[in-house]
Amino acid sequence: MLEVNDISIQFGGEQVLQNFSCRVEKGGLACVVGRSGCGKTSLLKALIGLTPYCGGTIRIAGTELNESSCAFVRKITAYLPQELVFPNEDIMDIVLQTLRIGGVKNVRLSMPLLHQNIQRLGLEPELLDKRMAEISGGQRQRVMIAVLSMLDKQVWLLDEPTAALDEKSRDLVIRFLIEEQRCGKTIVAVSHDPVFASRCSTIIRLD
Amino acid sequence: MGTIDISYISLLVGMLLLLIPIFYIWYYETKLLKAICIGAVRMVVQMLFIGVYLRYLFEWDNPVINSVWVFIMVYIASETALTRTRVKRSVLMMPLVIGFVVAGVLIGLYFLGIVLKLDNVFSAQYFIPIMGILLGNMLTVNVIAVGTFYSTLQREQNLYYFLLGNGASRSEALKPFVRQAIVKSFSPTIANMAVMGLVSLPGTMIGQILGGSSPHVAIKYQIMIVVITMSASMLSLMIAIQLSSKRAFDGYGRMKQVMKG
Repeated sequence: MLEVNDISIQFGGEQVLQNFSCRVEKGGLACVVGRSGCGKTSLLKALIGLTPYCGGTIRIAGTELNESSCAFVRKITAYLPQELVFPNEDIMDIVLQTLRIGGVKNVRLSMPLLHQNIQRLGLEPELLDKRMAEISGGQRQRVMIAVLSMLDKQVWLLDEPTAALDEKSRDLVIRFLIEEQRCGKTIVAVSHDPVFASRCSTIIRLD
Repeated sequence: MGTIDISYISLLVGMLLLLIPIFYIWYYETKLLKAICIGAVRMVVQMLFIGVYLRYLFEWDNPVINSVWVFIMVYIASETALTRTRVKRSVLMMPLVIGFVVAGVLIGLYFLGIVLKLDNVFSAQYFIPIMGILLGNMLTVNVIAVGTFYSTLQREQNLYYFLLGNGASRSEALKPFVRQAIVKSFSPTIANMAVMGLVSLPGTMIGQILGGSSPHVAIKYQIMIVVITMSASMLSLMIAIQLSSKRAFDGYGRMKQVMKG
């Protein structure tokens, strides 16, 4: 489903990855681990062309990533960056906007499923009536994971999905991701969390 | 009813009022002291010169000379906006010039030709002041909006990449940033428009009344001035953002280094 062959990435003038290769099978749950600054986030972003890389190739669902194919690759990929800062708008506006750009045709029909997913992540659907600044970082992260699950994308790329969460919330997120994986999603997540890494089917080590 | 002239001594006495903002700017160490002093001196010198230029421009009343003069105004406005927004010249200069020219000419000529029904739309008496008002407003809006757009985009890149990475086109992913830029730059104008005549009595209207026009005529001009400045400002802003964003991103939609320094 996801193949990285012999790529190198520079970040801030420093070589963070050199001649790097990895592979994640369809339906896999992979955790990218390594010390801070080793290029985990850069690798995740490179998979959808958000970070430049040189040499080698990246293939997602059989499509080689390049300038002309990146729009298609992003259509089949869900991406959640770390520390996402939203304007202080109504959460529902941001949810609707994300669903729209993610290609969800009938947003109104999707609401019951969204509420159900939010509850699976230990949150109350009433949270959607608040503004972004009124909820915590951990709640925001779980709301966005629930929203991404609505996009029906084959590949999920998540940057530190369990950061800023207490143990109980973290376990709910891990369970949620494993259930999505069992439904056929291919998930690649950057994480410093050893508990999360221990539940993944593949470990991509960057050290 | 003629307008009472202001003698140069009285003008100096009047300008003493500038000491109030200068004092607070100095007291709160805003680092704007040099800028306000240079700005005040430039304003006086430029206004003295413009008095001379305008006399000749009105005497010659030549469409080509008037157009060249307006283009010089566009160039200076673009340079000023470029300096204030701190965006790289290679990204923003041409989009600003094109935005100012297209919006200024389209909206200005619409007003002069269709609303005022002038036989000669390039007549110095109308063309130069109207383009001056339009450019002044377009400059203010573009400085605030374009500066906000690129600085917010730089600061909140994660949001842009989140939208792009989930399948948004570049223009869809830029929408929240354009929205913020519009809100920030147009909110004062919209608030001012809503209380015009109740709280604020705008400059164009006051100038016309002091110059001897009837309030009835002055009001109609003022309404049109608000409408054309707002339309031209929005049009020039959209052109500047659309054209500059073609240069600010690479083929993958990744943001290039667009701010100076």
